[in-house]
Amino acid sequence: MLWKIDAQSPQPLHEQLAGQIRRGIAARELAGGEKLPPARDLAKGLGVNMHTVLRAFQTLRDEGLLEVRRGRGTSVARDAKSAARHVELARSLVSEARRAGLDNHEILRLVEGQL
Amino acid sequence: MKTTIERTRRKVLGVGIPVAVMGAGLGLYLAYWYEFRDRLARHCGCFGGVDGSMTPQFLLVVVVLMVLGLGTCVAIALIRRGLQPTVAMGASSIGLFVGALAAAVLATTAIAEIGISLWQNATLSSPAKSLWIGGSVIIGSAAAWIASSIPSGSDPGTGTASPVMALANGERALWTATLSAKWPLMLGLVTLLTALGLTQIAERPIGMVLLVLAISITTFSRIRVTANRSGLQVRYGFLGWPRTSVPLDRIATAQAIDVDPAGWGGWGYRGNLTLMKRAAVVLRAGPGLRLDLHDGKVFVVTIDDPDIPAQLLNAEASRLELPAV
Repeated sequence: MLWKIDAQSPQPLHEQLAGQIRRGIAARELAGGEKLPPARDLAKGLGVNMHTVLRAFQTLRDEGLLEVRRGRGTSVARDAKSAARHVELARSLVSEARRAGLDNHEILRLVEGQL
Repeated sequence: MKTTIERTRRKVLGVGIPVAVMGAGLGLYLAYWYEFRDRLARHCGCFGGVDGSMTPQFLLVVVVLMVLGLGTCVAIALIRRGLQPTVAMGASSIGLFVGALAAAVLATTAIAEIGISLWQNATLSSPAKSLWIGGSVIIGSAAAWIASSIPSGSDPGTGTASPVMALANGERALWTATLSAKWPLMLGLVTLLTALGLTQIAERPIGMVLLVLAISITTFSRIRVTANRSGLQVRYGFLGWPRTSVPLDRIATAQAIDVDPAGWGGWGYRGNLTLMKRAAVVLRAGPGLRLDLHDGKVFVVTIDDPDIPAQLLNAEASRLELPAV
């Protein structure tokens, strides 16, 4: 897989990395169960701090896209494809709602109304 | 035309000369044929002592069959088109080593029999035994050295030149990929089980050799390849060690090619960058990445989608050439 980061982009590095993994899963470049390169290797290879990579992994683990197991490395979650779709939909909903002038509380109420 | 001369030279070195050397040993053996008694002493021990006997016909048949078998394999290997010089070196070296060894076995066995009445007394001195084994190794190595100086017309394979990847000024890229081959893993496991079995049945030295072999085979069942602004790195096995690194400042161009394991003499780490100027990490037939280094050396590694690392390395290499603004 090709990993790219842009040090001059206004988007934080960990978000750029997380976005790439999300896109990789959505495009089936990263299959469920596939092991990711060790965070140390990724950090060294891209010339970033290891905590930046770990932060991206942490975000994606919270989204249910990655499985982080102590001593066994980080791998793509088995059901990551569907989770990636939900995260992507939620992300576009939030950005659309913000553009429309809704605050966090209103967005939460909007979602709750649909439950 | 150039390739024909090259192949003729290789055949002379790997087959013609070994056959001549073997013929000399055979001639000496046959010259003493009528002086041999019913049985000849066998000198299979480490120090040249007598450890059994055999008929003169038996030794003749065994040596001739062994030489014919190995000679055929070497000849087939050397006749192939698209053969890498590294393979030609190995084949020529084996050819001459076996030829010299067979000639020495015949000659020393015959000489040890001269002037004695019982085969039990036909002791071969340790220096004589060391001389014919050591001598064969030296002759074999000389063949490898001569074979390496024969210019090679074969090429590791060319593909379409990979374009340069578009990278913005502050952009950094890293390409990672893993390639696993199933059969070395299975072969390694079988060897490992055999090694463990043999160590249980007292054949400890052979078991240990097989254990080392099993570890080496398993190491080449999986590689992890990375390419970035530092260059290319190949890590072997499940531990990611050992590893081969090609720094970016050594890389002139990178391209995607099709790799033929037969041309490289099989699978695993083939050749040597320092000695043979060509090296390849071959896990399977198919797509691979070829790096042409500034000093004319070539490094090849089999990997899926080699176009991406080729484009990335070309981009990083061209970035290296541009003066920093």
